[in-house]
Amino acid sequence: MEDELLRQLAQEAKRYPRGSKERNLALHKLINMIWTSSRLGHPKRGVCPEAIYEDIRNEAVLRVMHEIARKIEGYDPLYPVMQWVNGLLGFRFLDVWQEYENRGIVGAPRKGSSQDPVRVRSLDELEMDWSEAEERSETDQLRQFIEEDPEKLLIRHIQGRPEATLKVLFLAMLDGLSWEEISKNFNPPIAKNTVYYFVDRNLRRLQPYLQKHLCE
Amino acid sequence: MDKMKKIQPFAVPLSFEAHRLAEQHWRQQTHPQKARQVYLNTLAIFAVNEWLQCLEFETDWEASDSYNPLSIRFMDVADLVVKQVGKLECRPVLSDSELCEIPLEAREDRIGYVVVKLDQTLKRAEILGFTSTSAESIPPDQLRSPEELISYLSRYAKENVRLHQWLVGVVEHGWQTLEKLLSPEQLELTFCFRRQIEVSRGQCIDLGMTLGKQSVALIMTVSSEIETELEIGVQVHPIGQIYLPPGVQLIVTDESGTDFAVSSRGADNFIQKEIIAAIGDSFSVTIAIGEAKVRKNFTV
Repeated sequence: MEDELLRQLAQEAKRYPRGSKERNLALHKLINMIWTSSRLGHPKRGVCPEAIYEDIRNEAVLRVMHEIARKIEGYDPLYPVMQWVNGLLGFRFLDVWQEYENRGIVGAPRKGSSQDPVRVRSLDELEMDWSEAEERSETDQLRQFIEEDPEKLLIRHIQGRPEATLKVLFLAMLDGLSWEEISKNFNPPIAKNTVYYFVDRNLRRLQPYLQKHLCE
Repeated sequence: MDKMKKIQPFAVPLSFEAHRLAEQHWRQQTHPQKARQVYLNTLAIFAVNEWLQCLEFETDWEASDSYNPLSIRFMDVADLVVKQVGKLECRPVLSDSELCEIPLEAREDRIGYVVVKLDQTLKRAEILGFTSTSAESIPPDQLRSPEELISYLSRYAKENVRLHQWLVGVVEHGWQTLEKLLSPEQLELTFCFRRQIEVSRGQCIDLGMTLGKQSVALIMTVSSEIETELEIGVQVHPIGQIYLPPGVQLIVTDESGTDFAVSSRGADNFIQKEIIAAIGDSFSVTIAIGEAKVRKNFTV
């Protein structure tokens, strides 16, 4: 019986100290079971637009997951776990709805302005939103900065390969080239690892310099 | 042939908060594929972060490279700092059977690689499992369960060796006297600072790999001349052989993340690195062959 198993897991978690491996394992199983249970409630239907109900509920469920972990000591084994959880879920649902309603953040999908409310995008919507955003054609300040290289720090190149400067490599990376492609762009090709270590080291070192692209 | 028992993934709902963060990083990209990857990476990290925080592991996402807008313009990294433990790489996949690929830039300096499945609606993430060995790709049947990751992280978090205490005879469990690990000939080759107080201990390190297990001995020798400093000799010796196989790497990483590495070439009896550090500093020692790595954390 699911009830009994949940009760046992909750008691198991209570038994061990905070942060202990045993407690973590019990909490992990408990929370996973609760969240995937068909008896996890659907509170307060009708309070918010149906179109975003699932998302509000998901946000609330996430908060309840944290709450259960934090308050597990307070769980009373006399009551079924799901009863406790659904009680919490009802409250958190209202909290989330109120928060997001106040921030004006939820609503039906709208066309692209930079003041878009937060949207829970599907994979398809992600593709769509990106192509719409591209029409905005913002200048890529970072790219411009690298091309200008005002302090001429990006002329540094891979040892023995003067054509493989940081500028060339950084621009290739911004262009989305793979390590393989970058490696083969040179004649003779430069080993991927060599390119990577060179870029990585210098990227870390030049962070403060590259940050300057944000200033006009 | 499939002896694997079915791993139970851990599910995490993805809602406004997750997508807000994903969008924040996504908007700063200019390249479509990179942008998409950044969005999915952020959702994967979000799922792992939420899960770890429920379990009271302390994370520091904002200190991770994946949070740094400049880093992710260039590199495809999805790291998450777990305090006192190290970095977990959180890679998204879109199906159970998908081979999870780990980009070159994400294979360094990670204690584990977590695979997170995202569904098409991007409203649900499932933590499928992890591996501790870095590789170009992770086949789904080589994943270890999320429960094992919990054990793995718990062990790591506790395992911080305090070297200055060795000098007063307090040595952590699991560190053996050298006679237990090394042959008499090898004992001649260990560090000797020639001081009154000097303590050496070692551990057997298994570098389990697909080609066959390699065991080496990590030997730490601790001594002190000035009260505020320790001199530490780090050595790697072969076990059961005279020479180390070629390509064994010993990497000492200091607090700032700087690496000092030394490699074996084939006729080495051992490889070593000597360091001097102030009491209270921490560093880590990584021993690697190929992609297989083991890391130990130390406090001076």
